[in-house]
Amino acid sequence: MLIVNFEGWTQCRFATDPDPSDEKRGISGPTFATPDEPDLDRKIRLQNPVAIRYPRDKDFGVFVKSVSYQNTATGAVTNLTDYPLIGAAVDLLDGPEYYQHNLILTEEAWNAPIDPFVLNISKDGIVIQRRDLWDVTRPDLTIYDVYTDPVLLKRRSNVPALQSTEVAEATGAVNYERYRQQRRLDLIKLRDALLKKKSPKNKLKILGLEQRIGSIDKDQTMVGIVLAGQQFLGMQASYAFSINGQHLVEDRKNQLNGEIGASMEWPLSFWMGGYDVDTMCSYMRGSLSLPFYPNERFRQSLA
Amino acid sequence: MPKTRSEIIYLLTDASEIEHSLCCIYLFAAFSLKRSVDEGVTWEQLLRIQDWMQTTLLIAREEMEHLGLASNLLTAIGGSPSFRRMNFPQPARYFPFDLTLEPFSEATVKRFVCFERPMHIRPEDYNTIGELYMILREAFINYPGPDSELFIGPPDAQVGGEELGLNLNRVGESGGGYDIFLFPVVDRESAVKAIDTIIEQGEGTHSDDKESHYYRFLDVLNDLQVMKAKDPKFEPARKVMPNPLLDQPRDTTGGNIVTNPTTRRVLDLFNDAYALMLQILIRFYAHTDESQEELNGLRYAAFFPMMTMVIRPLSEILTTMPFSEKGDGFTAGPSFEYENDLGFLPHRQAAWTVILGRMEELALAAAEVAKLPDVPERLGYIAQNIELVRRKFAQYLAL
Repeated sequence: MLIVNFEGWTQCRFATDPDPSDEKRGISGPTFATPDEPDLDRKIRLQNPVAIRYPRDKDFGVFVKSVSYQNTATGAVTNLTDYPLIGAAVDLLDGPEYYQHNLILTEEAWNAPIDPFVLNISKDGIVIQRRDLWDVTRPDLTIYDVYTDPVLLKRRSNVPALQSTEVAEATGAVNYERYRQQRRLDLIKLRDALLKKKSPKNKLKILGLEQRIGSIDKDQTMVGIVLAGQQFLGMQASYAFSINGQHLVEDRKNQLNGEIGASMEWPLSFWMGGYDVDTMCSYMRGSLSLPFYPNERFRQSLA
Repeated sequence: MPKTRSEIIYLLTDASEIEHSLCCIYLFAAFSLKRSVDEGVTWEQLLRIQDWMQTTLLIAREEMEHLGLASNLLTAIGGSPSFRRMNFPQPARYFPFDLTLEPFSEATVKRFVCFERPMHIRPEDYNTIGELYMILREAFINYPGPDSELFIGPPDAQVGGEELGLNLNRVGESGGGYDIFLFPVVDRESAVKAIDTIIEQGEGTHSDDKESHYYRFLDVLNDLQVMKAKDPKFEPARKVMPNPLLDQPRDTTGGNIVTNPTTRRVLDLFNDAYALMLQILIRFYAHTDESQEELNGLRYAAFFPMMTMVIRPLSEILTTMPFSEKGDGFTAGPSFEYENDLGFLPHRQAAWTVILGRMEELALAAAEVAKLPDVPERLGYIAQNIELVRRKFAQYLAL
């Protein structure tokens, strides 16, 4: 079995309650679109972000960090340091969203199933892709069909944790208030640098930075906003299910050195956490287990 | 100074009506605000408008919290939570202004500042809601009997932040999710704490309490005046007709009847949604023998789904729809018409059946209205959400 470990920054530009979930600009919740940005669209992006904000413009994206091979007969695990999947881009396809509709679809505040769920890992001619189905006997079901069925819904629901240490150590937000205040200082520097340029082209960007700075300033007077902001920063939404639907595996150059099994499910566990309401980005860390029948070359490399 | 249970109940019922009315008035103003640079404002102006809307919605939420605390106080002393109120417009009673639904403007915000004005800076002849709460505070403190004589209502029939998922923890405190602090009243100390919460949020306890409604509205007013000075033609609100009505209620003579047929359908839908939400809230705040699971069902439907996914978007849509067919640019708005049949439904099973029936009617009506040719596309999303709530709520009834 191949165990593929991935992590990195994701984006989801969405309005949060008490805004309605179709709110386009963000008014009463802690998230909003700035004047230089398009409307909020709720899409979860692991690659190709839209209007990415500082400082996530420097380190955005989810990528495979390590791959190991587990011999299921012996239990021995070998870390594959040069395996071609390392550095592959991890993505969720078909416009996934966190579905909740302000607690209509789920009743727990931090429970947000992702739908549709199509995991895609790709690099240099290798594509490993699989869709998860709510019910394999009824492939067309969406979240709207299953939200009243606790058994089906639970499978893809997350377990929430607040003030998570793992999230804090992954994101650096180990002190929420200080993290927010440091961001404020950074944004002020960015704004002042743009102001010095005195270019009319920067007008909307400056307004956008001022909107972000002003929002952090509200930490001092709006209890709900600061609480929401801090709860999001420490929140960890952990998902664990086995991907069960249609698959696609391409390996034209035979770089994987073996065959990935698709007749069985692919166990997946991951968390999304540390959602930063200022950047509308959160961190993702996960692990995908792929049934794998190695070829001779792979076996020799292990030997 | 009230000295008896009956007198305190009378004043708390009055306070409930005022909080409910203020909430509607603030929401109306907030939903009248422009939402796009396509509506004749610059980006700089739109950002200020968004801030004002955020502040006004926050204060409206806190008025709902005050209504919740007043309901808990009523239940605690053996009274009945009251969601009844008079329809708009209503003549002045506690305030030097009529209670009217008006779009956001400098005059409107000045009225809001006056509503929330602390007693110490009010003109001598004005009454304020703060004064009403101070009378209530003294009444609780000086009630002649022991706590056990006054607080006879069941504490578990009240609503706290825990039930609503608002009790977010932080160092030394809990509560405040969505800026709401809600807790049960069980004795004199918690009764006074509830009243102090309302007073502090409204007018503040210090002369520079920036988090009070009074100072928040004062900030909005100052900000608005600065923006108007920069651009005298700046109009932050849509051209919304004040006090719109679907039908003339029996308890008011003023108001403006919406005449555009399509807009009337949407306003009718809004009023049905508002009535349903109140019916659920009344049952929730005065529940009897509901199980915890059934209470979850009432909470499930009433708060986030109905308030944020139905009432607010329908209100926002209404302020974009024509008031009449005259083509004069006036738009409608949420009229919050209070229907006479909105009382407490005393029998649990029957109450739930009535509520579900209303919800089914609302879902059908929303689906029909969403299909009308001239309505905003967003109505389809609202209709979908009402149907999703109905399906889930029906499951609770089947438990």
